[in-house]
Amino acid sequence: MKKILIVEDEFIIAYRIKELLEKKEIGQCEIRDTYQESVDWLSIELPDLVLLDIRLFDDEDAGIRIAHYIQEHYHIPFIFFSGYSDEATLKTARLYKPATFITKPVIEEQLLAAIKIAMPDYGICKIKTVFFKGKYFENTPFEQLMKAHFSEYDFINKEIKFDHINIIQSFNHIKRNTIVFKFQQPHTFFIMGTTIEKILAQLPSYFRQVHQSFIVNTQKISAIRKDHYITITNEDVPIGNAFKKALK
Amino acid sequence: MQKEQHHRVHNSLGIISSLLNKYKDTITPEKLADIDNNIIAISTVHRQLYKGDTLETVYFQPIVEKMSSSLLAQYGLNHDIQILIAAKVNVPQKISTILALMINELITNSLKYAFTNIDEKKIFVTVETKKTNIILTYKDSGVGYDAAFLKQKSEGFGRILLEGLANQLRGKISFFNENGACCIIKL
Repeated sequence: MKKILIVEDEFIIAYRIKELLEKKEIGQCEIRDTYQESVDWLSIELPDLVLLDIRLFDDEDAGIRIAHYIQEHYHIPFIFFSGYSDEATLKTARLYKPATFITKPVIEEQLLAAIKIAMPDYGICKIKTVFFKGKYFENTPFEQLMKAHFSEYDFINKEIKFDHINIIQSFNHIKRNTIVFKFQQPHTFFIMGTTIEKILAQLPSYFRQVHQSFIVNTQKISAIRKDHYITITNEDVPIGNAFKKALK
Repeated sequence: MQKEQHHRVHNSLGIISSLLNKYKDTITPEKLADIDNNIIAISTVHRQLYKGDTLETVYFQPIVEKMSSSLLAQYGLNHDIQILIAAKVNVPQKISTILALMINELITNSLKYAFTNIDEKKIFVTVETKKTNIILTYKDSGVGYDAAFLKQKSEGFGRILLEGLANQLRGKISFFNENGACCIIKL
């Protein structure tokens, strides 16, 4: 089931849209009605689509700022829907490249059509890689990576699909701010100047931290052995004591 | 200020449009009457807004009076049920429409469900201000909320609506029974 975030401050309007989209089985909907609550939610749960009202209570451009946040951090399509469709509003809205702009009151058939066009069929939203600061190495032997010097100011310019990530491991104890991404294909690593906590905050909820140094993609788990190890494609990941309870 | 007024009217129409869409596939004369009451509640607030001297607040007593008499007329129960109103306070404009919609919902609930086999049929609506808070105390002398409603398990939209609207105003809402149904909303 797809996830949709509805950002709208008028409860009756938000609830009706939620009810419509859930009844039509387009997606499970969450409602938020301030900039902060929306951004807080977005940093934990990645939806497939966001519906954005522009003005929230007295906050005249809250929706625009949320769009900016989304654009900076993620590849998630969003649709503006607003009572204001004057030239200035449209001009500003355009800058953030929304999938479309719908005027309120919403004509439901129009909204449904717009959502169907905007929402990706399958697959996972992509994180924008500029978020992961640091240098990346691909298909480089691990020993060599550990010797490499890289500057925090370089950043990778490659998109990573969540679906392709199996395990994320931190090597902070060996080399500061070093994170390795392990993919389906062997010998594919990424290294960045960041921390495991920062990475976790940007992943969809099916990624779970299982150890101080490990995050796993729970969709890829093939076995859990005696509470001690998780197996993902022939690789064993230890489960930290502190994380055992949360995994049950 | 004019933009503000436009925004308010626009939002109100958006609310009505949402309610109509909600019931469009299953509309019954009863649901239509409910939506009509929502429209009356909203328009009563708007009328009072234009009458008022200030733009910041709106005097609430006449709003509740007008809504009540129109609800009573609609249910054809004028002589039978008394609605006692104490709402002689000024309420910030921003919350006036939503507060009116909540009162409308509460009274509608009572008129529909509360007074089966009850002799003395009374409803009390009190709106007061305490410091910076607005408190709505609602009571009726009816059969009380049923268990499903109190446990948030009822199928109806009523409780979801009231809680959603209270949350929109960042208020607290509670339901309980005390010689009838009681609801307290603290904004």
